[in-house]
Amino acid sequence: MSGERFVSVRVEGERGVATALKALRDSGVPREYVEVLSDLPLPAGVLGGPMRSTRLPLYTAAGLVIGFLAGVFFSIGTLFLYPLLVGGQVSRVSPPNLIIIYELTMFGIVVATALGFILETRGRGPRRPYFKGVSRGETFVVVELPPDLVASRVRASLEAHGGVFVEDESAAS
Amino acid sequence: MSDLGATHGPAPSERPDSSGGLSPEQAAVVYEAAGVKTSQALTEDELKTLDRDLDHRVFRAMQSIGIRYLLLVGFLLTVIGFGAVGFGWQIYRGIGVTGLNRPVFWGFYITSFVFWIGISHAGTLVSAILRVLNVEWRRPLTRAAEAMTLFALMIGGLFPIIHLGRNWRFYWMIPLPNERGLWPNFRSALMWDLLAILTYITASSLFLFLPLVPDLATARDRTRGLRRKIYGLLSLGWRGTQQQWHRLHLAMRVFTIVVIPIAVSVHTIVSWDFGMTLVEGWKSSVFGPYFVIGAIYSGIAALITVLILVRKSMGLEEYLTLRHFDRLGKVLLAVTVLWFYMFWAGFLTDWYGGNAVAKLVQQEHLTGPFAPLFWTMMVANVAVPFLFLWFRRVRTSMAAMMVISLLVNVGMWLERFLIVVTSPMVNSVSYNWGGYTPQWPEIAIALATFAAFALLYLIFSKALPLISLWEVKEGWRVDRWQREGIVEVENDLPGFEAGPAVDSVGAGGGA
Repeated sequence: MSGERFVSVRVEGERGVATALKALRDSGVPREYVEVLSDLPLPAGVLGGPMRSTRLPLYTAAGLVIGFLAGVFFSIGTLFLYPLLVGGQVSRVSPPNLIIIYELTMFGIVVATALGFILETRGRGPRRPYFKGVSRGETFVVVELPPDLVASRVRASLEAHGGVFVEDESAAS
Repeated sequence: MSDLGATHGPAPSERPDSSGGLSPEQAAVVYEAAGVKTSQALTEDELKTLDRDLDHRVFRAMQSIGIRYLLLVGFLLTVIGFGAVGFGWQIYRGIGVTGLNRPVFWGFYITSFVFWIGISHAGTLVSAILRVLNVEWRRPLTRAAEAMTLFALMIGGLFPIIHLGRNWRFYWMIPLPNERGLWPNFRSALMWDLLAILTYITASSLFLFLPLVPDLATARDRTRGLRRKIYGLLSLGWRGTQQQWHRLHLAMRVFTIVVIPIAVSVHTIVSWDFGMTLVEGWKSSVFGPYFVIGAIYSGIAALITVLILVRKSMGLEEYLTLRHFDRLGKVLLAVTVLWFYMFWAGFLTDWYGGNAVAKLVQQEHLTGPFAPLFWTMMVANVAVPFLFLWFRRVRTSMAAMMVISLLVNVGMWLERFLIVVTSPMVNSVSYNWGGYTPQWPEIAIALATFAAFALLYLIFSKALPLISLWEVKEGWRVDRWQREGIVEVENDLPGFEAGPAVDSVGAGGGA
C-alpha cells in the first residue's frame, strides 16, 4: 500500500542524506514531499535549509494569553465576585495579584507548549512509513510521491546515489 | 522480562565478554578516542561504536533486576511502611500525637516540605541553566537531574497535606466557590504556594518528558508485549523525522527559558511563607534569594549523590566521567560561598539591628540548646566544602564527593529545621515561649520520604533511560558539525533552491 505512495531508502550518514536530497531536488521532487528519519537531529546544513515552520509558537502564545486571563480572573475577578470583608471594608490587595497572574501565565505557557508538541508530533492523516533501524542509528529518506512522478523514477534516482531501497515497517504506534 | 538491549548491543564481533558491551581493551581505545579527540574528528565508525555501547549499557541496566535490587526495594518498602503506620496513627489519634504545640506549629513536616522543595531545585533549574548556556558536559546529567526534581516535588508536595489536622479534608483547599460555604482567598500566601508548586511540578514533569520522547521510541523498538505498548503510547508516534526534531528543539527552547523563572519563583514563594510574617528569625527581605540559593545548594549536592550512585550501579563510568564530577564540584564550591554570603547578610543584619527577640533567636543557635545543630550545620555547609572542594583530587574522588554531598544535605536539613522550628520558640511575650520535640510519627514519616525518594528513583531507573541517549550522541557530533560549518546555515539556504550543503559534509561525515 505504502509502496505506491511512498518510496523509502536507507542512506549512510550525513553525506548520504545530503546526496539523496540533492538527487531528489534534481529529479524535481518538491521539498515538502521528502522526510529524513534519523535517531539524531541533523544540522540544517545537511538538510540544505530550514525546517518547515511549525505551529508550536502559536500554542505557546495562546497559552500565555489564556494563562494571563485566568490569572486576572482568579486574582482580580474573584475580588469583585466574592468580596472579602476585612474590618468592614473590602480587601483590595494588588501585589499578591501579580503573583497569581504570574504563576498562572507560566502555567498556561508550559501546558500549551507541551500540548502543542504532543498534538503536532502525533500528527493526523494516514500512517506514514517507519523503520526500526532508526532506533539503531540508521538514517532513512522517505519520499511521498508527488502526483506527477512515478515511484520507479524516484527509486532509481535515489539508488543511483547510494540509497538502499527498504520496505515500510510501519512500526510507529 | 523484556528483551531490552538484548538484540541491539554491539555486534557479536565487538562483544567478546559475556557481560555484553565492549571488551575492556576495546572500551579503552574508544573512550580514549572520545576523550582525547574532543576537538578532533571521531570517525563515523568510532561514533557508531560509541552509540551502540551507550545503548547497550543503558538498556542492559534497565533490564537487569538482581537480588540486591530486590532487597533494596524491600528495605525501602519497609521504611515506607513504617512511615505509613506513623501516618495512620496520626490520623487515628489526631495531630496531637506530633510534637507540634503552641508556639511551634511548624515542625518536622514543614521542615521536610522546605527541604524537599529545595532538593527539587537543582534538577530542573541546573539542567535549564546548563541548556541555556549550551554547556556541552550537561548532556549525560540532565535526565537524572530532571527526574530528581520531579520525585522531590512529589514528596515535598505531600507534606502540607500530612501536616493538616484533618488530612482527609485536604480537598477543602481547592477553591470551589461557595461549594462548602467557603471561598478561599486567592490572595492568601498559601494559595501562592499551591499555584507555584502546581506550576513547577507541571513544568518539571513536561521538561523531563519532552526530551524523553525520542528515547521512548528507541525503547519501543527494542521491547515486546506490554512494555512495547506503554513505550509506544508514551512516544507519541515518534518517527525521528527532522520536522519532529525541529519541533522538539523548539519546545525545549521555550521550556528552558520559562522553567528558570518558575523555579526561582517557587522557592521564593516558599520563603515568603516565613518572610511575610512578623516572627523574628523569619521576617526578612533577604529570605527569597537566600532560600533560592539554599535550594540550589542542597539540590546540587543531592544531584552529586544521585549521580555517584547511578554511575556505580549502572556501570556508566565512561559516560558520567570524573570530569563531570570535577565540574560539579566547582559549581558546588561556588554555591557554598554564595550560600554563606546570603546567610551572613541575614545574620549580620539581625545581629546589628539589636532587636531583643532576634538576638535571643541567635543566642539559641550560637550558644543555646540548638548550638550543636547550628555548628554541625556550619561545619557541613561551610567548613568542609569550602576547605576541601578547592582540590581536584577531592572533586574527582567518588568517596570524597559522596561524603561532602551527603554532609551538605545534612547541613541543609538542619538549616531548614533551625529556621522553621527555633524561630517561633521565643517571642516578645515570654509566657508564650515554648519548645518542640519531634515524636515518632513525625520521624517515621520524614524517614519514609527519603525511602520513597530512593524507591521512585530505583523504579525510574528500570523503566526509563536514566541518560538522555540522543542528547549524548548528538553531543559527540556537534563538535564536528560546527567545525565543518554545517550547523548554522539555515538562513542562507532557503529550501531546495540553494540545494543541500552536500559539499560541506564530505570531510568527516562519510561512513
